[in-house]
Parts: sequence; C-alpha cells; structure tokens
Amino acid sequence: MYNLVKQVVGKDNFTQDEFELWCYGRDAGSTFPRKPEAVVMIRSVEALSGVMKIAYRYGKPVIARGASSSMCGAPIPVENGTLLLDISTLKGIEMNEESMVVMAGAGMTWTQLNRFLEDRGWELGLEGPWSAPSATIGGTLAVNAICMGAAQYGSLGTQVVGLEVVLADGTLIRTGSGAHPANEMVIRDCNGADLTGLFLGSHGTLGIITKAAFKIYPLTTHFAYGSFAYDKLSDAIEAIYHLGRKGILYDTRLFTYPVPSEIGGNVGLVYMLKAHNKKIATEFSNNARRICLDWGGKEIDGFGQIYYEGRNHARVKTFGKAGPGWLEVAGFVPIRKYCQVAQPILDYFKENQKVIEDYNIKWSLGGLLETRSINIPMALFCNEKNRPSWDKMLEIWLDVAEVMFKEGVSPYWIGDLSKKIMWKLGPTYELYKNLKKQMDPKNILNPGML
Amino acid sequence: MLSRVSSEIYKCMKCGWCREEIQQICPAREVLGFESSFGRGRVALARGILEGEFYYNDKLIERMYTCLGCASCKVHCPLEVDTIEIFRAHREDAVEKGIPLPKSLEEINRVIEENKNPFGKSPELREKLAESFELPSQGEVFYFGGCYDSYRLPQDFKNTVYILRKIGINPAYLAGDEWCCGLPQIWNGSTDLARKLAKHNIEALKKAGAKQVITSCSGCFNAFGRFYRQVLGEFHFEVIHITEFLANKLKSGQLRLKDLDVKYPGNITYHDPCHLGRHMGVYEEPRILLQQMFPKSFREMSRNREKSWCCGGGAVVFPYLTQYSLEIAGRRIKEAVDTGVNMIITTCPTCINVLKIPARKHKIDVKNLLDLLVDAVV
Repeated sequence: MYNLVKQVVGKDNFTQDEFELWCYGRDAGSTFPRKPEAVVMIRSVEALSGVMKIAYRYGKPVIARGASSSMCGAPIPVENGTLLLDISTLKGIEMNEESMVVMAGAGMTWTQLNRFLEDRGWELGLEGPWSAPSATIGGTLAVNAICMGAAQYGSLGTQVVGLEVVLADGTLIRTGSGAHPANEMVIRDCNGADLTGLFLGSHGTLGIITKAAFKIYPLTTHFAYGSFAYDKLSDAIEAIYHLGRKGILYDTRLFTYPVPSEIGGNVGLVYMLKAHNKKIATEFSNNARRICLDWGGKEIDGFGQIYYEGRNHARVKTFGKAGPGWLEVAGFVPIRKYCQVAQPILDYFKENQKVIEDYNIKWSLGGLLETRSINIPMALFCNEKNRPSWDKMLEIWLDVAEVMFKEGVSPYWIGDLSKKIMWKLGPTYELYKNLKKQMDPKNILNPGML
Repeated sequence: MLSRVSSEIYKCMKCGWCREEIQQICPAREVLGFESSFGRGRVALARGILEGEFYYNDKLIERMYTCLGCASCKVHCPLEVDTIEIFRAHREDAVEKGIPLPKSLEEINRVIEENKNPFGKSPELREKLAESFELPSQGEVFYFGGCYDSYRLPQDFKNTVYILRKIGINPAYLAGDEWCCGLPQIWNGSTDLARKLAKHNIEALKKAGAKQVITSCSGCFNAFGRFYRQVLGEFHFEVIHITEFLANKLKSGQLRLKDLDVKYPGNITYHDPCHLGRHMGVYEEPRILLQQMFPKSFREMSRNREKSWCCGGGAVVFPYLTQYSLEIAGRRIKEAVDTGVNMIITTCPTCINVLKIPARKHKIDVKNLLDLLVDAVV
C-alpha cells in the first residue's frame, strides 16, 4: 500500500523513519506521545485525494494534521498503524471582495490570512485562536477552537460560508453554495441540510477540510479596552452577562484563577472593542465601562490595552513559563451558570492543593464570552521533564473534565477527552456514530478519536 | 553532550511559532517539509535521543546536518529557547558517542588539524601575506583575516588592509600563527578540536599584545564573539566586525565615503549573514555604510534583519549537502530578483560563495561590502 502512496506523493514526501514518527507523535499539549506508522507530506489537494483513495481501498487509518498547536491531543493518532497526513502545506488564498468572502487553504496560518486581508483593507470576524501565529485554518476548524472576537461574532462556525473537504474514499466535495459547480462560496445555508456543520469540530473523523471560505468585513480602525478587578466572581459574571446583552464588545476575558498581578483583586476582567470611528468606539467604551463599574468593578488603567495588544505573545509566554508542559479542557455553558461550574472546580483544586503543590503543578481557570454563552477554559501546567508530575497532571485533567461535564459543560475541543465524554451524549452520540458509519464505512478517518 | 542543554530542550512548549509566520521561518522546512526539519521538530529529535526513544542512524545524522544554524527559529521563539545551542549539542553528542561524521566533514577536520585551515593550503601562505603587505606581527589593533580572506579571497584581505590604512590604522596580523577560527568544528560537533583552535588563537593574540581584533569574516566574528567566550570565558581584548568598526569611524568623521550610485548603475540590496545578524545582532552598521554609498539605489529585500533568509551555506551544510544548500540560496536570489536589484552586497565569504552560484543565472552580482568600500573611501 505504501508503495502506491509513494507513487502518488513521490518518495521524498513519505517517511517511516523512527525519529520522524516521534516528532509527529505529539502536539503542543502534554498528552502521551503516540507515533503514527508513517507520515506523508501532502503537497496538493489532488495528492490528498489520491492518498485517501488508496487508504480507503486498504482500510488504512489516517489522521490529518496542521500545525499541531492544540493542547488536547487532537492531532495525535489514537489507533496503532495510523498513516499521518501533514496538510500544513495546503496553502492558497482566493479573495472575493465583491461577495465579501475569502477562501483559504487548510494549511494557511491565521496570521497569514489576517495579514493578507489587512493589507487589502479587510478583516475576518474572528481573527483565529490565541495560537494564531502557528495554528492553521484547517486544524482550528477541525477542533472548532474558540477565537479572538467571540464576544462579538460567536463561535468559529458562524463565520464559515463553505468548506472544501476530502471524504474517506478520496472524493472531493464542497459545501454551501460552492457545491453548485456554477456558483461561488458565498452562503452556507443552502442545498438542504447544513453539511458544513458536520465537519466543523469533527476532528477529521468525517472528512479532511482542505479549504474554508470565511465572511470578511471592512477593516476596523478604532479600538478601546478595559480592565477591572472584582471582589466576587458572581459580580464579574453579572458584568459579563450584561456586557453580552449589549453586544458591543469584540472580546471579553475573565480571570478566575490566577488573576494577573496588574489587575489584582479576587477576579479579573478585560475586554476589547472595535469600531469604524472614534465616536462609536467612545460611546461603546463608555457603556461597557459603566456596566463594569455598576457591578462593583474597580477600573485598572491601561492593562486591557497591554493585554490585548500583546495577545499573540501573552498567552504563549505565560503558559510557557508556567509549564512549559500544558493541557487544557474547555467548554460552554450559559453565562449565568459560570459560577455553578466554577465552584466545584475551585473546590477540587482546594481539596487537592497539597498534591498539586507536591507535584509542582500549576493551573488556571478563566472565561471567554461567546455572545450568548461563556467558555470555561481550565489549563494545567508542569515541567514535562518531571514524569511523575506529568502523569499526575493527566490524572487531574481527566478529573476536571469529569467535573465540568457533570455540571453541564459542553466541550468543544475534545481530543483525548473523547472517550470520557462522547458516549455520555446518548442518542446524539449514536447519531454521530451512525453518520460516521455511513460517511466512513471502513472507519479510516481518525478512528477512535470521537 | 545533550544533558548540558536539557533545560533548554524541556523549555520548548511545542507551540510551533518557529514553523512559519507571515512567511516561512525555517529554510530547511521550506525545502524538506517534514516536522523534523525545523526548530520544534529538531528540539524533539534531541529530546528523543535524550530520553532514549531512538538512536542515531545515517538518516537521522543527515537530517541533523540539514540545519543551517541560521537561528531564525531562535529569534522567533516566544520563550527564547536557545535552539542553536541545542542543535550544536546534538551534533556534539553524536560525535562523543562515536557516530562517524559525514565523510566531507570528517575530511574538513583532518585538513584543519593538518594545515590549520579548511582548504588544505600551507600555513606559510599566511606568512607570505604578512610579508607582502608588510603587516606587523605585534600591536594593539589586529586584523584576524580568517581562512577565506587569507587563502581564497585575497582581494578581500587586501581591501581590508587598504581601508584600515586609509584611516590611519596599520593592523597587526598573526600570519602563520593565525589558525582557523574553528567555526566548521563548532558546527560539526567536533567541539574538542574547535576548543583547541580557539585556545590557540586567543593565546596567540594575547601574546602579541592585541587590545582590539577586527574580523572581516562574519563567521570568525561569531566564533570569537559567542563560542570562544562560552568555552574559554572572557578574554582581554575586544573583537569587532569590520562593518561595526568602520560605521563608528564614519560617525566620528574619521571615515568619509563617496556616493557610488552613478558608478554602479541599478539597484543594490544587502543580505544579512546569519552569523553577523541573528547570531551577533549586527544589522544596522552595514546599512549605515551602504546608505552612505548608495543613497538612491539601496533597496531592502522583504526578509531582512532578524527575518533575513539564510544563504543556505551555514553550519557546514554547503560542503556536505551542496545541492540542498544551493536550492535555499536560489530562493534568496529569487527574492533579490523580486526586489529589482542587480547587486547583492554582504559581509560573509560563505554567503558570497554560495549565493554567487544561483546568482549567475539571474545576472546578479554578489559582492563583499569591502569591494565597494575600497571604491568609496575618500
């Protein structure tokens, strides 16, 4: 089978070298490495389709991978004998200014796409995850990562108008209006069922995303920021709830633990807003500020701007220094349910404080406003060099995921947590499995992941 | 030995910022593609060896030696992981474990041990250079010619001496006592030999009364500035690159340069050598000199300074994987073509040596900054 694969991609784009497999066995998180059986550099969509046809014929498990900047094990093969397809080389941008849509290759990074648009006076609604400098479009869509700008634009899927996908048998399809050979990618909601949604967050288990079309908007030029300290978590949540209802913010973040020293207090909140002129920016900023103050916030001058202007560095640097090994679990609940979910997590860390200290593990709990819901990310950090700490961190990660799920959190970024979570969704999970059987009858697309 | 860099290895959080940014970050990745070809993967390779996950074999050695040591991954790392030291230690580890070096690199070691230069030339030639230019063997200001300028590019040697004398400095020169700086060994993992060469040069310069050592080769400058200090500690003389030295003289009015825009029609650009730029942080001084000489025709390539693209010849890659090296050099030349220039100026003999090959096809001149300074100095 691999000889056939080499014929399609060229022998220089295929490897089974032990050292290479080791490099592909990890992501940015600290889950156990799992090596693929072979790696193929995919240089074109045609090559990808060709490889999938061969894999399908032989029933070979495959996993596609972009930048591998996730922290939950999503791009790591679950099954032994998996063929890993490195699709980070699938580049290309097609701009359709008239329809205000841009189509990008799965291997483009968010930073590359953002810069391309910015140079032409446009921008995306969501500017990508906080790993935007390295994360690829395809990988981000495959795990449905929450992005910068979620307070205004919502989850990633809201911005996608269509996808190009290679299916298990190598067939290349387009979703949305782009499915019509004579039409362009301009709208997602057509042709009956929303097939685009099937692939978003599916971790490559239903198809491999090769291109995505996004809505674009005229470039905003005015920004405002805020940062506030709160005594009580419930007050900060009320502030976020009311900020959400106003719909004026671009991005809002909550620091439940730890709170940046620049903010102080027991809970911290930062936000950013965008506008097309100074008047609107000032008006929105005054409204947001008033809400935060009304709910007992103490204004901290300047930190919001520092935080957001350094957004592409801040998180990586902070997490790196705390770790640099890290793991994250995150999901959504209604905004006002945040405290109900956060409390048992805080209790868990309080109960296990000694263990956590003994193993030199650090942790954080936060919140991100997503228009009508709030995202709760919990991250763990340790030095991977310390194996017992690493093992303990994995244990805590799974425990907290259980706590979150029990409290009603819907995880969006599942990866290695899937075995713990997915089956609990009952009939919905059964439907997913049936769809998977229909779309991938030989179960070759990232088997075992979801 | 890899354990000496284990804290750096485990500092890597695998974020992948060393993969690509707006443009590619790693020249090796652009050509080879696979994960093990760029910073994050190369750190993982070192970690794999350290943790006993796999052992050295021919393919791994070849992959390790595709790194150009350009330090682009290092300057892009948000955690400032010292990738360069990890990659050097990795090669060093293989040598220490008795893994044979690629033949071409083994040969360079043999030739250097025998002749104290990588070209197999007689050390007497350096004596002759000293004689023909009547250079003293003792003094406070030394010119460390380096192997390229002493043997392969005598014109550059001559130019350096000419320019220095023009501003009233008659530099001393170690002649036969000047040995290779050891950069090839620093990079091929033969640290013991590199240390021996370093020790000799430092002692010879000290004995000859050096207070300031000027290098015209970016590689020698890097060897002195980083490796020598790392393995031998501080030494009691200053090491300065010729571009820094001359830019200072220009600022103080001791050096005056003519406008060469008319003499050299067309546009020119500057290629930052990795050894001078990312490794040593010298970006502006060559530009200060160039902008004085070419006020109208100087253009920057899109990747410049910290983001400059390697010539393809670093870290002993050129003598070992020549075609691969030239492929990377070709991409840099393409960038120069896209910038609309007909001359690339640089300050590193290795860069010149590698870049001039693909440049011929595009009728682009690759010149040492010294060639132009000779024309411009008043």
